[in-house]
Amino acid sequence: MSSDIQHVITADNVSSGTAPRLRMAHVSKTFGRNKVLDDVTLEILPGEVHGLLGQNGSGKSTLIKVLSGLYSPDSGAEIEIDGVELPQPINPAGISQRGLTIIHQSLGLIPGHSVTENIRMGSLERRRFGRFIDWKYERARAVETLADMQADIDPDQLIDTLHIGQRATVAIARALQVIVPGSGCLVLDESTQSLPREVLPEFYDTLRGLAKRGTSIAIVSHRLEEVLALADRVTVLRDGAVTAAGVSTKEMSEAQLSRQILGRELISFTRDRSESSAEASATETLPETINLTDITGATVRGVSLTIAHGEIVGITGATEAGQDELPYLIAGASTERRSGTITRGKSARSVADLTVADALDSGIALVPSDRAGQGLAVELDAVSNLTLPRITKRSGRGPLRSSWQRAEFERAVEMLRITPPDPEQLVTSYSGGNQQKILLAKWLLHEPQLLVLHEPTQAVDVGARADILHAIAAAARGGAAVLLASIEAQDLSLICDRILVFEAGRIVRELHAPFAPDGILSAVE
Amino acid sequence: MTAFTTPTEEKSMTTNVSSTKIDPSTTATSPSQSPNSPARDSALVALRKRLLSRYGIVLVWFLMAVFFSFAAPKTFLTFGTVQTIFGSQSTLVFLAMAAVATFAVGEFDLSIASIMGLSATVLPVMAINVGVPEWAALLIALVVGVLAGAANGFIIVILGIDPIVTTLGMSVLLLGIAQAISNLVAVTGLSLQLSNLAVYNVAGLPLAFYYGIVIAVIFAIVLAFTPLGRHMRFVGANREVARLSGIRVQRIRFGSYVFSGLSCGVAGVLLSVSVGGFDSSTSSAYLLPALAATFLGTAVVRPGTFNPIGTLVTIYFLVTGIVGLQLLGFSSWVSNVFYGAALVVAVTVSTIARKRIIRR
Repeated sequence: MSSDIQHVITADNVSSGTAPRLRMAHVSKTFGRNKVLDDVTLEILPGEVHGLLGQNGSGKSTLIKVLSGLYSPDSGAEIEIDGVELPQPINPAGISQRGLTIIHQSLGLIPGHSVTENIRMGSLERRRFGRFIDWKYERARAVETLADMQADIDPDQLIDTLHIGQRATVAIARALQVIVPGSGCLVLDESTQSLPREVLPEFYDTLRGLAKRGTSIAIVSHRLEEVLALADRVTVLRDGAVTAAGVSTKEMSEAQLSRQILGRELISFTRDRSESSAEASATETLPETINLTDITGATVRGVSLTIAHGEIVGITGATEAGQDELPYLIAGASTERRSGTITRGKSARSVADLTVADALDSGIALVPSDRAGQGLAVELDAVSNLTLPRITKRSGRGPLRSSWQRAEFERAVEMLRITPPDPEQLVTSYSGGNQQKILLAKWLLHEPQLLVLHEPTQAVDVGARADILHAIAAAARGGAAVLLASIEAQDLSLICDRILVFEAGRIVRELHAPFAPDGILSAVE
Repeated sequence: MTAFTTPTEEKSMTTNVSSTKIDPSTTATSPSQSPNSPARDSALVALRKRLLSRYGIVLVWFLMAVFFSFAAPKTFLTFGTVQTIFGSQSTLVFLAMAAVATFAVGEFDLSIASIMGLSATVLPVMAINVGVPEWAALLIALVVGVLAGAANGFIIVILGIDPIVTTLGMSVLLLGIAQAISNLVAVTGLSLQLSNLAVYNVAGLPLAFYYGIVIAVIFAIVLAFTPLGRHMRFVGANREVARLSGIRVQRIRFGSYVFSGLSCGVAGVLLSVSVGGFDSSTSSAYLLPALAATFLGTAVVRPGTFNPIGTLVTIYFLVTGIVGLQLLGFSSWVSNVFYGAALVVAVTVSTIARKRIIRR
């Protein structure tokens, strides 16, 4: 390993005598010629919160898939729980018997069922006579677990009626069913990704409480701040290899840690706002502004705003404050009842019956936040996903030609540094960050007059994030009006000209550049 | 045989570059990275694997034909057998195309055989019992097919009802209507002139055979080379993504049911004119072979996707097996066993293949 990587520490600091709660050593995983994991070591001590960090594609999810038994590692891997070797191939029931549970990003709860049913699923016991479920007993056990966690959740409520933070608590409660209090290990695989910011402190408290009583917690995440706030020690993966093994977070600053993750300095991002607006005003053929008037939807209540060409307007707020619905209303993607008008120059368009096709015709493109659900058909190849919105226009009635599609893909690669630059690869085989880049490129290549984005940098590592922000800024420089809905204060502060803060469906504050990320956060709360 | 496998192969070699990487082994080794001599061997291996995974069935088909030629040289190796195999399946081809049209866009149609049966019944009933001119009866039969498909589309797409339940109900309903208008008896007596539309001999095979090839090829071209085909693929893969890309999803879904109805109507007309009439109670026997070929077709040419050419190849592959076994002395139960097994095997294989593609 090269010398510039600092802190490649092995398990010297493991206190002698106590075996680690979980020890994975010499874990390698090869797909064909690709070595995705290379001799990875991960040690989690009893009662600690351990962060597993890495960019998208660094191998963290592969490592968790090895741990959960979904992938079998190359030979030579050692996996131990409390000092006892885990037999391979790993069987999921076997690891939960040994007190290890994994909570995945999707939380794995079953809608339409009660909290009790969800918590006890998988642990249901039957009565001695007959094979009936004793729901009184099961409910009592669920209540017990929730009380242990000091969670105030009614066990009879349906999962669907809980807010997302409570759902995460239920998922943890279920995971704890297989863990003897004060022992065991809980692995959170990007589980906090779906949680809104306002419930995070509560969620962190729950985790810290568990760790204090002796349960080990491993959080797999690419969110640096989160890991720094929560973890005692971190292990960093880069390109399938460990670059920092069990380093105490007290010894490391955020900058040092991000260097470990990226292998280089954080890309500094500055946007020259004066230059961008100057260039935009040079494109005189465009009407100067796009006006949204009295837009109303399920949560948005009569919002009006104006975006100039070349301007980037950020909208932010708490969950369901309206900024997360507005993009879908003005891009024709919402199927809820909606009203309002979009005006550009002399042409006005009602939002009430706007379809996506109509919106595209008037130059409005939407980058949705649900990448796999709404953004890209992940089981199809990259180039046909990329070119889909333009396929009719570019082909007319004749047959599809591949030359312009290739050209578009090359432009996308150039704009956003998509790796690998393989147009035929299935989207699902790309890392999360590159999928997000493909989604953004799909709409940037449409050269929209109004580009609407919802959380374009979510679940994306630092490197991809900079690429994405650069591309958005370039679109604005090219004359597009940009509306960016996000809760990422840092992104907003770097790129926006103005930021509008939503509360209960209305705009309550307007901030102007330059911003400090902290200022944006406090404006939301 | 070669008459249509050759265009198939050529077409997919040029158009299916996009699915090159579908095979998990080629994804992992990524042959495109190093085209130089050390990688050539593995590239050849990868190519062979790819050909095998796409045209495995064609190979099995060939081996099967060789086997039957030795096992029953006097009966199998005759032009009569070739005529039986290739001359008898055009109804099934149109029926399977109807299934492919709906499955490819993520829909489901269990009523195809009943729509075919209704069209096949309406034609002789109109021409013989009612007495309208035969060409008009033929048109009416096609319109009935289209209307039945549109009814499916209306209920499923516009009203938003589950396609499996809807088409299952429609299939029994339409069967009942066909039985009612035919009074539960076979209606026969269509003119020889009309039957020539289907059975007129061209180069040893009936015209209907060529219709089947033409529809499959046109359909394959639409799917692979036109914006409509690309839109259909995305509607099938992820409806919401398609909608947010500006595709008129509902129109495509509705259209697939209407096309399905039309194709079933053509199947019914061909069936009816070729034998001069139709017994409505026999239509349900056609459903399973059509579904079996459609699903098994996903293992050919474009692995993992419903595709017309793969389906066409599979139809003739299956019937070769059945004809061969019958010539060896097995009785007609063989076809049930064969089609039933093919459906189960096809679904199993395609599901496993899909998992291997997704999991990397």
